[in-house]
Amino acid sequence: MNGIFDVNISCGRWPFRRLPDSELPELAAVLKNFGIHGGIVRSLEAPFSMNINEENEILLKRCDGMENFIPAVAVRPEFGLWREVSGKVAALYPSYHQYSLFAPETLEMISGLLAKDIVPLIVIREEDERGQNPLCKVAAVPADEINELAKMFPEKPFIAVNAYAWEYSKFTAENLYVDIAFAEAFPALAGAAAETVGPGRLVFGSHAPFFCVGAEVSKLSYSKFSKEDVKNISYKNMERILYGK
Amino acid sequence: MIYDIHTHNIASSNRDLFGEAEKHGISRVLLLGDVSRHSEAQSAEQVREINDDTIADVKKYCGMADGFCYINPALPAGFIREEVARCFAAGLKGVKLEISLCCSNPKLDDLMAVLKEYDRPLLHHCWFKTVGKYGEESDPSDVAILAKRHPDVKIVMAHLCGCGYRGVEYIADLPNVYVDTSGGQPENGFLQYAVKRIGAGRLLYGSDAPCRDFGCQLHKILDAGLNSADLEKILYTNAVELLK
Repeated sequence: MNGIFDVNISCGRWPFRRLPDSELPELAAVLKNFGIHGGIVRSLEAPFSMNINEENEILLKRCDGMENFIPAVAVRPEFGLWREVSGKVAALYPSYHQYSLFAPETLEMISGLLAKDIVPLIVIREEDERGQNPLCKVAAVPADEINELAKMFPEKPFIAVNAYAWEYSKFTAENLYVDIAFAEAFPALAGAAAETVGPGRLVFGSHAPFFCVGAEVSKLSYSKFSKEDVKNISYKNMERILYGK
Repeated sequence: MIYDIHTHNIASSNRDLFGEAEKHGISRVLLLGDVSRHSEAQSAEQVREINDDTIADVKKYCGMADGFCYINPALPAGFIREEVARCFAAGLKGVKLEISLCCSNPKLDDLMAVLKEYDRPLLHHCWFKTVGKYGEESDPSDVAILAKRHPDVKIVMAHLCGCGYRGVEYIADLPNVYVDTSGGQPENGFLQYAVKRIGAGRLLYGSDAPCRDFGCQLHKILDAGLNSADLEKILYTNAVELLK
């Protein structure tokens, strides 16, 4: 991997407001300006779409020819097409799609994905709950539930995105990786993260185009992590997860 | 030069506020007090204690910090007038209100009269919240009511990302209302919208440090694709003009 690898990119049309640079070619150019040369891409439409299969097809087309941008197709237990999914990462939206992480059909889906070495990426939230559309309140996925789920499959990596720093303390499972997009008070976080998640399990996520990419990248430069830790967070941890390097 | 209009001097925070500010090229900060130290219904004694700390910190960091007087507007008018006068005499430059009393409440009128008399600004916490709203928390519609009643007092409505597009619209036609960019996530798009609707002359950079990071919050401004004249206004000159 060259430069920073971003596990938390979305593209398309968010239903509640138009986000700047939300189509992948434009967004990729913005990311590149900040040293991000690849990442995991989700669909902005998938959380609310009644037909995620269609959104997945569109996502695959958007990522076609976009070198180093890996599509994370959306999966949900009732949509049996998860059985046909291939690729490296699949996106789960348990709150938006209203299912329990521990329902038998969910566990069957996760087992199926893991059997194909597809990494489950769990979206805790897309927005700060305080700023959601009042007609559409979506609760965050409880951090302790994600942690419990990861513990059930200790040999396989899981990724959780958009956790607040105060939720980090719940992420004790050693196979659970967490991104930094929602975590601020970062110099302090370095201390807290060392006790719980640690730089070995933190991964860079910008949550673009919702968030300003430069703001997220700046966290790497002013954190109290060592240069080696910053490399791990920026791309090395993801190299290990995706390519076993 | 960068002026951060929204920071809190919190003694219990283990962060080096001024050291971190300096690293990010922030030359001066406005200290708004440790406003969450007590419950939102602070006593007069607790308000004095918060302000004593701010006065001391402004003196300690002379040249790098200004300060605002914190007030619980639900306290008696006599106390408010006396406390504001004491703080202004000690060099504080305006008043900060938080969530003790919704700002559309006419009980704020006495305080606003004092601010008009001294020609000093008010900085008010503000947020449109879908969930988690405090009982007396103000939103932009409340700030608009207050600003219309007191057009001669300059008001900084805090937290642009918490106020959102709708918040900007509520105050767009009220020239005495400014907006600070502090707090919330580094959301993309709100600042560009605010510049377009109310102009860079009414926007001020703020971080909400130490609850938030200088660097991350600063990039909300730096990444917005603004021209250098607008950047200078938002990052520095508007704050200096407001506080002179």
